[in-house]
Amino acid sequence: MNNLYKIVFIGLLGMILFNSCKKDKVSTYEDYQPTSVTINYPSNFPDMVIPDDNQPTKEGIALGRALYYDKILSKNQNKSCSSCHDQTKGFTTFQSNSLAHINLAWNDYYLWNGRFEGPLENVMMFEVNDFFETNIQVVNNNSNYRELFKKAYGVDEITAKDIAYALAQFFRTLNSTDSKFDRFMKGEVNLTPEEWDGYDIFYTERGDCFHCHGTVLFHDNIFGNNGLDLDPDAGLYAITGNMNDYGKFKTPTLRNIELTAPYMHDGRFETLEEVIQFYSIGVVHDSPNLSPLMKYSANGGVQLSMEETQNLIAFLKTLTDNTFTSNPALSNPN
Amino acid sequence: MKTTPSTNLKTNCALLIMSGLLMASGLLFSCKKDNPAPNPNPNPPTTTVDSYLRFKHKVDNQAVEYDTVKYVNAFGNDFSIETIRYFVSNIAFVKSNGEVVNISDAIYIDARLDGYDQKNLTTPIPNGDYTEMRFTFGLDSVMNQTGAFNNFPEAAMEWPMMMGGGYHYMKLEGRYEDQNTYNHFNFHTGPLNNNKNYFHVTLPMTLNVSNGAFDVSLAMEIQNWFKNPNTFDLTTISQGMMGSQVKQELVKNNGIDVFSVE
Repeated sequence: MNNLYKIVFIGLLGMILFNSCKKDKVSTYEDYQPTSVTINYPSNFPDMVIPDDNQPTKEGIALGRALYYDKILSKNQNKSCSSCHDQTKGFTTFQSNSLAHINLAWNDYYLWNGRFEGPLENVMMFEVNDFFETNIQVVNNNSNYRELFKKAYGVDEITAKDIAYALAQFFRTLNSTDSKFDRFMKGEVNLTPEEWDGYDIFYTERGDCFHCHGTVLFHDNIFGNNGLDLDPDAGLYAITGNMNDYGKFKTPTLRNIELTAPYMHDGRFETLEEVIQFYSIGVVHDSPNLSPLMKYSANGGVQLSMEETQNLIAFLKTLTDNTFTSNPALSNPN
Repeated sequence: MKTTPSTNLKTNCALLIMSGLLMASGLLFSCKKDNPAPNPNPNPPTTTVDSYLRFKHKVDNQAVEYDTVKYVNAFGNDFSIETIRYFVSNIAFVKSNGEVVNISDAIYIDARLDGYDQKNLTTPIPNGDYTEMRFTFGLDSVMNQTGAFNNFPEAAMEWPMMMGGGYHYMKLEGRYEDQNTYNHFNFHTGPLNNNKNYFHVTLPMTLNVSNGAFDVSLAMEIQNWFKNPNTFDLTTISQGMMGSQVKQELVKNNGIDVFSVE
């Protein structure tokens, strides 16, 4: 009987010692100690909102970067993000009309028709599951990635979500904030007379570019129909089913626009001259849901002269950010 | 070993008591928080309330039906409404005894964006009878500085630096029809060349506050932007409005009577 008491007593004592005073440990993996990173950006940019469960870490960003450039992402291992998003072209390519990967961390909507909204993690889940149809087993079979994911997220078994999260972390570093225009705004450089005139055209009702392409991001974070066609592509309507959204597309950023041809959601224009000619004389007034901001649309547009067109282009080229397109931290690490 | 039922009972009772004691001690001494922290603030926590300032947008005293040319203004233009975005600022309620109670510094309203047609306020206001509401339509010169609103959607109200900088007070947009053709109008007001194109509005109000909270609706009658004292022909008024101080003044003068408290 005494023995029984002893056993029970020791057992209970053991339970108390074991259960009490346990630290709130996040993970039991001893090598999961990611290094927190602060994403730096100018104070005139919007606040970057980052989900609590994917705060930036050195390991997460490095992993996302490795994946961005790795064909392992695609089902047949034949394409990576970088196949259509070349750093030297502002993270797009001439061969595709995909949106440039520039400052997307400050966007609320993704893809031309706004199919995804919320944090970057949401659109990255689509990229992994539906666009690339990533073979998760192949990634799991890769010992290098198993180690990188363990270091970044403390996981032994890699999931689609882990891949999407790592990509989102890298995307939050694809930030273009150091163009000539940024330096001009800081008073570090001046504009040429041509650029000054283009600046005036851009920011006044002469060209009226700023209503949709204003703010430090050079877009308004919403959708509009700029009047490309009498019978436009569906655009936002495909997502909302609202006829008043027919023909509306996400306003793209104009940062690095010199590098991101072709232009428009279907890539119909190859040069900035063609784009400005469209806004000058080619706007289709009777296009459904034409944005009220397409002023002078009854006359086809803002009627810029050849000289004004060239000056506006000179200004647009001040949005090219060579620091961004040559940043070694964003290049192919593999 | 053979045991009698009574011995078994005793053993079980003893075990039960011992377990109980040990578990109780475990609960008492284990799992102590690292920072048991006495309440750092000896004052009782401030109570919050659930107050609302709601913004309603009407044409001919009915809620706006967007994107449909179905209205006629005082001049006779057929028109529709597509966009209503604006700032109100320095919002205050005034008590019958003249006491002025500040409600909010600045509120951005987008009539068509979820969550931006009302403002939830949580600071209690003094109880009593309020008879007046005051606010500034737009942003005053102190508030209207480039960089004051870096986040979307407010950021997209940007007013270009070369026209004075800061933010639009209002973007009221739509289309009008004229002899089987249509065009757009854009009533964009703002601090053109730092002119004080904002204006102060004072409205009568009947509000009794008994628990620190309120629920007040401010209504905008859009027809009134187009008349009194200036009757606007939409085919001409909005062309070049942003760059025309004359037009900014005309719109400002029409704005005094567009609001009412409901």
